[in-house]
Amino acid sequence: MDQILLGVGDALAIENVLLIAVGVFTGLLVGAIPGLNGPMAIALALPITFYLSSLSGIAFLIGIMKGGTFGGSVAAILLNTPGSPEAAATAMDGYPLAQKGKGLKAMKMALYSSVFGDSVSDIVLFCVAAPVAVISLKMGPPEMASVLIFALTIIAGLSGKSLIRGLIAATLGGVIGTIGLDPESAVPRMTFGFVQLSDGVSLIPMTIGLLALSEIIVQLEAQILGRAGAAKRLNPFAKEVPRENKVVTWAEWRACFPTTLRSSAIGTGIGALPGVGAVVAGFLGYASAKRASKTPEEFGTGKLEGIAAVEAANSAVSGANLIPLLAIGVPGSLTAAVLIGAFLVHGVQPGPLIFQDHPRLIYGIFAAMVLANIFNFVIGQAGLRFFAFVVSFPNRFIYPAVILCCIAGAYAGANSMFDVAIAFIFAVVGYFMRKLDFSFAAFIIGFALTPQAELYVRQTVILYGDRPMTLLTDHPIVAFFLALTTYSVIRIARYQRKADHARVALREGATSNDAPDLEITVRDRSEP
Amino acid sequence: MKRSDIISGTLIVLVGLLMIFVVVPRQIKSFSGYGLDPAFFPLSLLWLLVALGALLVATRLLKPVDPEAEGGGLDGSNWAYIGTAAMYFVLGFLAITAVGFVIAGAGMMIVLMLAIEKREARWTEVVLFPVATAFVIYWLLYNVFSVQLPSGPF
Repeated sequence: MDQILLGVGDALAIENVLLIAVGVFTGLLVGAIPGLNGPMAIALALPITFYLSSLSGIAFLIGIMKGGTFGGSVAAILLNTPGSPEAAATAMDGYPLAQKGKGLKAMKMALYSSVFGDSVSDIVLFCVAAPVAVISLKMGPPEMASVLIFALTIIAGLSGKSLIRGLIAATLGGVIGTIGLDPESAVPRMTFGFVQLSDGVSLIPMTIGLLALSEIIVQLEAQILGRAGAAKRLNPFAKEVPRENKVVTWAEWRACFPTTLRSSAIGTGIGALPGVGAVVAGFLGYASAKRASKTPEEFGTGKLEGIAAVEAANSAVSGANLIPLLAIGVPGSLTAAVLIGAFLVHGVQPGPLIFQDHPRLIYGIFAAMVLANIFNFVIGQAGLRFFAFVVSFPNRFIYPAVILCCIAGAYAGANSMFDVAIAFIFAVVGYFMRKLDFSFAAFIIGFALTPQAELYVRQTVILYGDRPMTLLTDHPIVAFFLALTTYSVIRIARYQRKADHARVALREGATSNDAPDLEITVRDRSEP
Repeated sequence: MKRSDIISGTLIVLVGLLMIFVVVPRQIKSFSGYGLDPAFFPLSLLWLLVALGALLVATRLLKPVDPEAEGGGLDGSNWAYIGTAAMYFVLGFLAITAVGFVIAGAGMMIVLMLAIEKREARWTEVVLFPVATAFVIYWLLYNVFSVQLPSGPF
């Protein structure tokens, strides 16, 4: 109890409260600008956390994460261009509402349901993470190795559109993760004579290159080659718009509440699974709301319920996402993988021991999440006019400035131009990954988990190298997770094959009853 | 994506084999202590990568054709663009090392703004905004976070 109170007290320190508010504002701002998104902003802000305390730094990044989720919906509603991938489904009903002059109402409903979904998810995190951590503390190296192999396979299989491409991305991340000194013998591995690579490839410049710079390169390509679609911004604040089109009434909120609650549960469940992510949660929330509705034909024509369904589901992912990270040390998403960097910068290893070794920090983070939700609501509500303005801020200013911030951020981590070079190299790698549809989440999580997995495997070999068969007979959890991994790979492969066949059949005109749902979940699956 | 998958799968196989037979033997010395050899994990992952690359090629050759998905991947203009972008980064890196962050950073921004705006660029914007942005970033990092970005010879 003392630790809880101390943690909450830390989070309420004026410095931390301000940092959370700044984080939420930054997330909202970045999320609102099409082409920029939350994970990118977190990667860029990561070097700043070097200069903050562990709680301040992580709370700041959590603020960005929470703000970024709702921020994406502003552009989706006003421009029909999602500010972030998870807001893609928000545009389906948001933009038609904005065309009807109800853009402000749509943005407010998005904000309310987003904050609600996020809060539900956080409550589940607070209740579930510690008990799961207690269970995982009882696991030894063989069990942890098998859990990591299972988690990596699931992430690789579910975070992209193709199982094989996902596995390739995770394996490639793993290969990069082995660069540096060998954990047992300290023999340099693939360092090519660069002393800077002795500790391995640094996560910060790598994520800046992969997430931020490569995204800007892709956006610039569309701009420079003239492939960017022109978007017309609708003004929801115009004087001629009647007042009832600018507010969400109590009756409207109450009518949408069951949908919001259902989507929050869906998003929380999806978020707790490593690798699935907010985009899928958003589409699943939307599909389930449509299925449950008495007027499904109205979905897609500007229905508030559609917005509530998507926003509650995609926001509910963010809290639950941290369950695998804090309980077993497995980042469940791209954002969680980047957050690992913030923990490691301050010498904190995410995983079950965190509740034992750093309880004050953990409860501080939980309190910071609650504060971030409050700020998300307050800043989102007060700043809607501003965020509606920034969605159409000219790209000619934004992209070059972001590139310069990326260079400064990559350099700031270690005061080294070597890290800037790493960021540039991964920017080009990231461009190819985007174009060829290899999952970033799988790559970064593979990179982040490999050193840990390698250590567990090595410990297992030392412990059981002379009697390998007892590993399976004496450790049923290992056998269970290895069997589950094999089963999951087969299931995912079969599902994807079925989806591919369904897509081809749909295009040829042959439709089946379940094909449209399959189409939504498969086609729009993207980065978590 | 079928063609791109075949090309990328083939490239992954070739790079993987190059790493296994050329890079790893030269870059990782064998160690005869207890436990696993230092090269064990990288080699295992690289063999897995080669196998997955081959599987990607094989499945794309056998898979049903999805006409809509065929539009993805890279064409000539993409290759030209990413080549230019890579060159831009190399030159930017050399410029920052040579003349410092503020001048090189402003220069990099100006090039980008001109590329985006083309003929419609306003010269006041194109010069003032990059110089101000580069200077503000430099100043902030130096004064708030004690990070000295490269200052060049000045």
